[in-house]
Amino acid sequence: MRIRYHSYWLAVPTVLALALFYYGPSLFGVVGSFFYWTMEKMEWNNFANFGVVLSNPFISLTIVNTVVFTVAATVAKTIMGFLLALVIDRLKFGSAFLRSVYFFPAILSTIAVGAVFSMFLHPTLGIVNRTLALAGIPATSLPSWLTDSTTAMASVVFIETWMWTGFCAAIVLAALQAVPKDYYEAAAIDGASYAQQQWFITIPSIWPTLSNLIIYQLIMGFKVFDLILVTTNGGPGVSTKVLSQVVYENITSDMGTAAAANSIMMMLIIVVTLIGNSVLNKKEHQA
Amino acid sequence: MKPAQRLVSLGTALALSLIILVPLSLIFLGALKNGKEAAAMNFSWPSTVELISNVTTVLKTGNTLIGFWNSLVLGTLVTVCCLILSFVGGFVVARRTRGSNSALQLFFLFGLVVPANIVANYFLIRLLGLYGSLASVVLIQAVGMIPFSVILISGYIKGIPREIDESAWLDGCGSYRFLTAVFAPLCQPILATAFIIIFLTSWNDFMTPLYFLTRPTSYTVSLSLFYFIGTYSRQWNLVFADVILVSAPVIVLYLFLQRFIISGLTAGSVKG
Repeated sequence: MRIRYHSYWLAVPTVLALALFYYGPSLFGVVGSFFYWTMEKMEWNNFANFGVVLSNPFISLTIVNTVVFTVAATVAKTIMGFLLALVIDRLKFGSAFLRSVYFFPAILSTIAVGAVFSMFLHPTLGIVNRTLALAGIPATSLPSWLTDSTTAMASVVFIETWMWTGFCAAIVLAALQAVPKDYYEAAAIDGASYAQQQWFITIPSIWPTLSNLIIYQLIMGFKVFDLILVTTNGGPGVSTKVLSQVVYENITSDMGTAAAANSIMMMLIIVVTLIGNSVLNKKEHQA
Repeated sequence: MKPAQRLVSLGTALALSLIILVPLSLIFLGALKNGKEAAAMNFSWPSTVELISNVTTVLKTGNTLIGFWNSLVLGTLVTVCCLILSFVGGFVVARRTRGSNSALQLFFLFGLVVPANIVANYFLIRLLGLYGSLASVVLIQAVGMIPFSVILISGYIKGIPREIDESAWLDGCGSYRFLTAVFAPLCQPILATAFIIIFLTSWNDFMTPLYFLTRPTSYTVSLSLFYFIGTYSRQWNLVFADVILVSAPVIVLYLFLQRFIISGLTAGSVKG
């Protein structure tokens, strides 16, 4: 006989808090994106809010920007983090210290990091362009980084990558330590090169961790807000403007449009999670 | 692996760490300099160390001190509320074996994927009349961290043998006393981890305060930094000094508790 030792009603406040103030608003926000919605009234207006978001080229571009930022940053962070973890994993000593150095930017506030890099990447005074100028690149061909629409997105992705590569490396590193070392010895005896060993042993072995990491980074990417706001504020023009800024700019005047933009973001997140979980996890079984 | 290969790895890793260390050293140097030298942005040591005067200027002109106080109050309230709710929630998720246990776990796990809806939250907060008050941010941040901390804590509790529950029960210990007197001390490591991560997340959160706090007297550190940058974007020494001020508590935490911080922060994406 199993005895029930505890009163499980203890969890009721937690469940209620989450239902009322988290899932409730999430659902309500999706419903609200089909309404003309202000603080005073809510009127059903079908897909009109989505029409506003999708038909205005300045707003619909933010969807493209959000996806571009997310995919570029996720690819950069994951690959760099993976390679970094491989390097750190080979060290006999100092790996713990280096891991904490690389991880460090992840604990800083995005506002602080964004502010600092805006100064580093300043077109004329920033250290980056000063260094490039010292290297002999003429002043006219120096990129303006955050203030040029052709380089702004890449610059923002760079800052994001700087911040989170060490974080990704720490996760990969933990997974690497669980891979049995004799796999590599056996592969080495069979004549597999270092690169082959990583491709055929490491990646399949840590794939569950990697796929979760990728999905997590994609989710983070779609929600990006702070970094863009503090570095470019969506500019120049709307070249780096993202969905969360459309939400922010519309929320006081037109909550319906803000909700529609938010729903699109939520849809991206849920679709990516579902597809990611089925596609990425399927690969794991094949490997 | 040959020693030469190890040496190459060490060299590569050290060289790569410069990508992190160089910007950090530039921040520190910048905060030490006067306005003119900071604008020149180089690695030279400042002619006179102006750190104290930079910091006092920031404290006088920005809302940094108010921000510190508000963020401290906010972080403490958020952490305490979230930790109590997540502890009992995580406990039930881990210990309940019959009935809809996996449904309950899924209920919390789902929160790691479904994002909080800021528009509906905004509507709700204004309906409740909390708009502009710290209480609104406490509510949104505390609830927002519940899914993560419940999953984190329940994972730890699953590793604690049930025999402890049994013997406490036989000794006549009720659920409430069991949680506070027996279980909380047992869960200290994971509670400490959750505590630090929730506090850190609240401290660094920018979006929630930006949406809900309107008066300068209720600014948090990240808001005060954001508005400071907007006003003093040309005085780099002051911006650098403010960045250091705002990050100082986090850096101190990281120096002493990095094991907890790294394991806690990475747990979110491993399980997610």
